[in-house]
Amino acid sequence: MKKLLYLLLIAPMLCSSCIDEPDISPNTNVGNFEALWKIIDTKYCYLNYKNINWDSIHRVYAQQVDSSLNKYEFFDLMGKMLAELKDGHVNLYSEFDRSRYWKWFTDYPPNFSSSLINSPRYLGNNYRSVGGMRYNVISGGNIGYIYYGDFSDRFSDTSVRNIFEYFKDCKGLIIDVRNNGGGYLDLSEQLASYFFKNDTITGYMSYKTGDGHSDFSTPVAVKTPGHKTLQWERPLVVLANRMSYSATNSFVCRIKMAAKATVVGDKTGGGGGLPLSSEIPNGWMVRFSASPMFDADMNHTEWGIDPDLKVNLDSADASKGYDTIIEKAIRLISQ
Amino acid sequence: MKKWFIVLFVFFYMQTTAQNAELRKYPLTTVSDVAGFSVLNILDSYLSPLTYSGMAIFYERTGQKLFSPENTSVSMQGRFRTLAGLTVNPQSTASITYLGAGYSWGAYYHFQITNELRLQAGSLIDAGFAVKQNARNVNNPYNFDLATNLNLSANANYDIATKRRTIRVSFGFETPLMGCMFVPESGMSYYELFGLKNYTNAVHFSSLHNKQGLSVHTSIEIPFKYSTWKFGIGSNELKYKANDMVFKHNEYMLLIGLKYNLYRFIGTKNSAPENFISTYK
Repeated sequence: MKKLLYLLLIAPMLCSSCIDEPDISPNTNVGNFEALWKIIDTKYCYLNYKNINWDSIHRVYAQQVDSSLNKYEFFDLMGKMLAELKDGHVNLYSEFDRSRYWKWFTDYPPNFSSSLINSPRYLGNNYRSVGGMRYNVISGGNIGYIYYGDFSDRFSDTSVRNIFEYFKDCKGLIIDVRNNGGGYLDLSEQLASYFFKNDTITGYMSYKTGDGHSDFSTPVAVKTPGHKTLQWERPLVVLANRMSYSATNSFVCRIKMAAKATVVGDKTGGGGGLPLSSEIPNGWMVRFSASPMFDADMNHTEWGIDPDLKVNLDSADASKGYDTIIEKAIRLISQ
Repeated sequence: MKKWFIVLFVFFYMQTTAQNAELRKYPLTTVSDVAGFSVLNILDSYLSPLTYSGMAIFYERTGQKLFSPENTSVSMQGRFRTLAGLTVNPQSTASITYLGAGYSWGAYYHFQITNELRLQAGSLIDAGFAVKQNARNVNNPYNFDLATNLNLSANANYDIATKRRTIRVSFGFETPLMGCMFVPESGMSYYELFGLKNYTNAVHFSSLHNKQGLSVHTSIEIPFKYSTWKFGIGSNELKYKANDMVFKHNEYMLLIGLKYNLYRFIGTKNSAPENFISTYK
């Protein structure tokens, strides 16, 4: 009995050596660089898709990292390394700054003017607002217009029901998601569901299953459910630009499959990789794309979604108080 | 004569009833209510590769009673435990909040080695649930500790008689043998898990090959005039691995509590004697 008890007592101690804890790099510039490089090397999902040679990036940046760099210099260098990924979902967060890559919209025409949409011709001063949606009737009361600028602003079915009721005499609806940088994916699903009669496969998603650059799970279907009680059955035009990113990119990807929807404006900014977070020994957090999302034809959505009708904001129109993209949407619905 | 018969009948009836009442044994539930502070270390590779450290408070209620009052060798035990903690990463730039609770139930066999020393050995089935939140994270801000286990447990109680009272010193340990646990894939977000209901590789069989733990406690129980107080120290160390991720949960505890017998009178068969007054009528 004594032997048995003794054995049972020491067995867990002996077995504890069977599970090795992960090696953590030291909290030095070199250690933090190696930790950051490894996180991207093993968890970032677009290295192969973007043909990025991450080993050569290591060689280039390792030469520049040493203990003489102060924290600002080191942060800037690491931010520069992450910018090689050309991904708006990749950021390094420190206690004093956030690195970012913004060329996915700064290299393109803005195709958006807040002063135009706030002019009396569109939203005006007397618009209504609920759940982050600012809305009003435009074009002589014939068309409903919603500006939704952030998929982090939660809305409810009740709010949307009331908006649809407000637009009950309108021929069609415009949802403007230009300059909407994203937010919650479940909200993009919810907003799209009001325009689908049935559950529809609108995309696919996979995730990394190992450290290798091509270790991915079998993609699972992403369905957009048809909302059971609330449907908009008249024409819908969705306005997008390059700053329509991440969850907004996902919304546009879904809505392109809706029967009576047309996407007008510019190509979206992309952001097709669902980001996750990790951290390095000095406590800085890194956000990175981890789960690639695809459209219904299994095309990557990382570089954006093309509109059905490409329209740029015309400066001559703008000087007259017209938003070229909204005007195109009005004509489409009025046809 | 008739009167005498009645008197004798009543006398013998009362005598028999009294003897039965004396002989009849009721198993009492011995309850231990313990609370305390822990130093808590958490490694959750789904949330962060770094180990977070901090403080926690816990409450634990243990109830133990014999299966049968005739057999003093076998007892059952139920235990509820809840823990709330706040931990930070080594640079204090992020935190993990921990909220957990668990219940275990099992049986012990008692060995009376000497008058002073008694050993108990047995096994417990436990079910635990905990939420860990790293609010700084995006799309992976939560992880759940969801597991059931069959645990092996042993306790030793040694009574030390002093002039005024008998002090009990206890030592015990518990270790998980096998069970199942929830661990998501490291690259999987909670949107995929719960939004798309993709539970691939999320539930794992656990045994000593991928889950090892040891809970140890030492306590001293001191009976006073109206109560028995319990003071002790202990540790819970747990490490497990699944989906190429390692998880660690270490607690080092300081505990204080009360131990007492719970009297239960319920139904018509087990109704309380008249001198036990209850609010329940």
